[in-house]
Amino acid sequence: MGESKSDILQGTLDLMVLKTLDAMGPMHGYGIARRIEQISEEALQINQGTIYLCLIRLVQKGWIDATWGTSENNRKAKFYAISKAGKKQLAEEAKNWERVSGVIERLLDLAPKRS
Amino acid sequence: MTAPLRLFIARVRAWLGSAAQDREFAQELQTHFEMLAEDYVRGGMSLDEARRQARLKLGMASSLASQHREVRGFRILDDLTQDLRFAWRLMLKERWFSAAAIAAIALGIGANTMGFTIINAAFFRGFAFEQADRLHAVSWRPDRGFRMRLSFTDYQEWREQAQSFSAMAAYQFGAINISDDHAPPEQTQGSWVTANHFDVLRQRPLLGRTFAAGEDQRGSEPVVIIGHQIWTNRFGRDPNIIGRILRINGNAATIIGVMPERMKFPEDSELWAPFVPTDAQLAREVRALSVFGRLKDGISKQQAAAEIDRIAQGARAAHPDATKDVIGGQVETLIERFLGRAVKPMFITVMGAVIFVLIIAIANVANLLLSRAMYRAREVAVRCSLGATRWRVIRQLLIESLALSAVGTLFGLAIAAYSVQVFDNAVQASGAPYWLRFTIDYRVLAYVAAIGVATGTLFGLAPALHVTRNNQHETLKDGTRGATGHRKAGRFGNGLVVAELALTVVLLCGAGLMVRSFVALYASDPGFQVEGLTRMQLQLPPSRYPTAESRARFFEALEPRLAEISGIKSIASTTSVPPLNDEQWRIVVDGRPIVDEERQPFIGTATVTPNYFDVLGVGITRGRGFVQTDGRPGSENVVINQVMADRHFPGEDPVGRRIRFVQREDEPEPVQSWRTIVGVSAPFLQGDSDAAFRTPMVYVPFQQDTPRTSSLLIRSSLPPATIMSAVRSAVQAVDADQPVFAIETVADVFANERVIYQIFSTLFGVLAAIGLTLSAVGVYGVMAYAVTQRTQEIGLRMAIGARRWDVSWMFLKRALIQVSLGLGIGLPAAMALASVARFRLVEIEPTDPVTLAGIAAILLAVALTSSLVPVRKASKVDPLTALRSE
Repeated sequence: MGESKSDILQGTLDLMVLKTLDAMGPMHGYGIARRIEQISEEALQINQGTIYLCLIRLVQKGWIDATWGTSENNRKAKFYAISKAGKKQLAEEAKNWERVSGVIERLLDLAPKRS
Repeated sequence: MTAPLRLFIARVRAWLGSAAQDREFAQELQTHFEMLAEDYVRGGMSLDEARRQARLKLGMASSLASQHREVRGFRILDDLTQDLRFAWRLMLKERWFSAAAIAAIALGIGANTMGFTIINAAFFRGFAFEQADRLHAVSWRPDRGFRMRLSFTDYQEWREQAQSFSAMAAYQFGAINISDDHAPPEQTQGSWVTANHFDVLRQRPLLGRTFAAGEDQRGSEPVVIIGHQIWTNRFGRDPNIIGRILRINGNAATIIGVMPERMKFPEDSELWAPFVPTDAQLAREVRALSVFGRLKDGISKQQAAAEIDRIAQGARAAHPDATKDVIGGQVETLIERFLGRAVKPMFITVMGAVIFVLIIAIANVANLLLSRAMYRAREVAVRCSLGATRWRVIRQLLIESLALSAVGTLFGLAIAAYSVQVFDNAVQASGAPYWLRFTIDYRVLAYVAAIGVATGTLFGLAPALHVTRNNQHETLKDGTRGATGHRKAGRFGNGLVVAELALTVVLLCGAGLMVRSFVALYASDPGFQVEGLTRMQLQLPPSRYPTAESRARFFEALEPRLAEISGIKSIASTTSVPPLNDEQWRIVVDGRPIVDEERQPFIGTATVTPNYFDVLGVGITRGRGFVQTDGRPGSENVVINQVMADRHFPGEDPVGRRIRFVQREDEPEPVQSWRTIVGVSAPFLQGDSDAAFRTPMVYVPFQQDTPRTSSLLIRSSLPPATIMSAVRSAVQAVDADQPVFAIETVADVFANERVIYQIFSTLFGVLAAIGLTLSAVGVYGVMAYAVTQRTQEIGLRMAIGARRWDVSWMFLKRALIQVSLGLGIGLPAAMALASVARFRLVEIEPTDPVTLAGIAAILLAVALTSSLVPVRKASKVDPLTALRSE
C-alpha cells in the first residue's frame, strides 16, 4: 500500500465520490474508481477495493442509492446514483472544503519569519 | 427519521442479512476485477499479467470482505458471535467440566428462583385488584397484639374525617349458615360488608351486579352476592341464578350477583351480604368491623397513617372510657394485614438461605473455572502474544462463563418451575390465603435473567482477570506449572472453599435448628389420645339463639339424640379441639392485689362439657373433674391445667382458690363473677404454636357459658363420613336449618398445624443439602487441583524419604484447616443471624449443642470424604515418574 499517496482522508474520498456521481450520473464502482484516478491524473493511486467501503457507508447514510443493472459489456454490476440528501450533503461539504482549503492556502502562503 | 437512527437501522439490517450482503459484495468485486483485467488486456498486457495486476490493484478479497462487514454492520456483534461459537464448542468438548459447572449453577439459580418466587408472591404481587397497592387496612393499635377492629361509629367518624382516602369500606368476616328449599343447609364463610365494598376494591361481578348505595340501610330489601364456589357447588353454575332466594342465617335474601372464581376478599369469603348495624352494634365499645380504604393519588402510606393516628387520638381524647385498650390508629398495606407479620421473617429467612446457596454455587464454579484457567494459561499467552488485547481475552473468557451460566440458568429455571409447583400445592393444602399463589411470572423471569448474568459475570471475572494478569513470556517460556501466579490462584481457591464451607455451616445451622424445633414441637407426647378422635363444628346463629340459655337448651335437646348413635363411644362439646385454642381472657386471682384490670395476664380458656377430659383420655391430677351440676348457679366451678397451676400457684394448692375473668367490652354477657377451682388436669398440647401449645388454661363448664360456635369432639372408630351423616341427622332433628361442618379427624387437625413447619423445615433441609453437596465438590476440586499441581513436589519429597502417610497428611491437614476455618467463621455468623432472626426457635436455643456438634461432625466427614480420592492419588505418586514428568 503506497501510504503517502493513497492514505487519503475518509471525508475526502466521500466528497470525491459524491461529486463524481453528481457530475456523471449513475455509475458502477469500477467506473467511479477509474474516474477519480483519471481526474487526479493518476496522482492518486487508490487501492480500488476501498472505494466499496466508502460506497456502502454512503448508501447506509442515505446519500447515494444502489441498484443492480447491466454494464456496457453486459456484466451484472451495481450502479450508484446520488440522492437528494446526497446533493445537499455534497453542497455542504464542498463549501466546507473550500473554506478549509482557503485557510490552508493562506497559511502556506505565509512567508517564513527570519530570526 | 433522524440520520443516526436511519444509519443504525441500515446497519442492523445489514448485520441481520450479512450472508446475502457478503454474496452481493463478492459479486460486485468479481465484476470490478473482470472490468479491470479487461482494461489491462486492452492496454496490451497478457491475460495472466492483467489478472495479476488487477488483483494487486483491487486488494485482497478476504480482507476487503471483512472490512466491508465491519463498515456496514457491528463488529462487536460479529466478534461476539464468534466467541459464543467458540464457547459452545469448548463446552461440548469439556463435557464433564461443563456438566459439573452447569449442575452447580442450576442448583444455585433454581433455589434462588424459588426463593424469589415465594417473596414475589407474598410481597410484590399481592392482590389481584386494580391498583391494589393503593388499598390499605385501617385499624386501632391496641396496647397488646397487632390491631383492633373499629366500631361502626368509629368507622363512620373516621371515614368522614380522613382526607387521605378516596373511599373507605368496612366488613365483618365469619361463618354464615345458608339454606334454601333445594339443598341441605350448609355452613360457609362470608362477610357482612358495607354497600361500597366492591366499589372500593374496583371488583366487577361475574354475573349480576354489586351492592347499590343504600342497600346496607335498615329496612332495605335483603340481598346477597355469592362466590364462585357456592355458585358451582350448590347451584351447578346456573346462569339464571340472579333473583333466586337464599336464606342467610335463616333470613331470606335475593341473590343479586356472583363473584368470579379467584375473588374471596376479605379472608376466604364465599358470600357477601350487606352489613346493617343492630342497635347494640352502634355502641362505640363494640368494635367488630375491619376497615380498609383506597388512598387518594399522591398520598403516601405514611401520610395516611399520620392522619389516621391523629383522628384516633382525637377519638381517644373525646371518649376516654371507651378507648382504654387502644393507644392509636394505624394503616397497613393489605399484604401486611392479611399475611401477618409472623410469616414475613419466615419468607425472608428462606430468601436469605437461597442467596447463600447461590453464593456457594458461584464460589464453586469460580473455583472450577480457576483451576481450568490454569491449564489454559498457555492458550491465553499465545493469543496475547499474537496481538489480542487483554480486554479481548477477558471478554472471551467472560462469554464462556456467561454461556455456561445461561445453560445453567435454563436448567435452574426448570428445577424452579417444578419445585414452585410442589411448594404451591403444599402451601395451598395447608390452608394459605386464597390470593397467595406461587407462580413464576414476568417479575420472576426478569429476576432470573438478572441473576443469571450476574452469576456468570461473578464466577467468570476472577479467573479471567487472574489468567490475563500472568506474564505471558513467563508462561510461554516456562513449561512447568509452579509459577507464582498459580500459587496465588491456589490461595484464592482456598479462600473460596473456606467461604463455601462457612456459608454451608450457616445453612446447616438454620436447617438444623428448624428441624430440631419442629421435632421438639411435635414429636413429644401430645398428652391425649389423638387416634380415633373426630371433630365437627356447629355454629348457632345469634338471630335464633340469642342467649347462652337458648343455646344450652339446643344442646340439651341434642345430647340424648347423639347418645343414641351406635358406634360412637363418647362425645363432648367444646370450644377447643386440641392442640388448637385461640380464646384468651384476662384473669384475676382472688386475694391477689391488682393495679389495673386491663393489665392482668391472659390465660387460655376453653368451654367444655363434663366428659371432655374422658373423651380426650386426659387424667385429673388434683381435685376432681367436672360433674353435671357444675356451671349451675351456685356451682360456678372451673378446672385448670397443670401449666396454669405451676405458673400461677407455684408451691400452693390451687384447688379451692377463686378466679374471675375481666369483663371484655365486646362481650355483652357478664363473665366477671367469681369461679372456684375444683381440679387440675394433666397437661396436654393446647393453645397456640408460638407457645409450643403449652399455654396455661382455664376450663369453664359448657352449661354455664354455652358458646355460639363449638365443636363436637367424638371418640369413635367409625369413618368420618359415617359419623358426619349420623350427627347431621341428629342435629337437624333438633333444628332443620342448622348445618354441621368442618368434619375432620383430630390427627388431621394436628397435621394441618404442622404442615407449614414441615414445608419450611423440608425446604431448609433441601437447601442445606444442596449447599453441602456444592461445598463437597468445592473441597474436592481444590484438593484434586493441588495434588495435580504438586505432583513433582510430592515425587521429590518421596525421593528424599517422605513416607506415603506424610504425603497424605500434607493434604489432609489442608482439608482440616479449611473445615476449621469454615466452622470458625460459619458458627459465630450463624449464631449472630439466629439471634437476629429469632425464627421460631421453639424451645431450642440458637446455641443448642446437639445441633452444633452435629453440624461440625457432618462438615468434617463430608470434607474429609471429598478429599479422600485426591489424597489417595497423591500417596500413590511414583517418585520416578513424577520427577521425570514435565
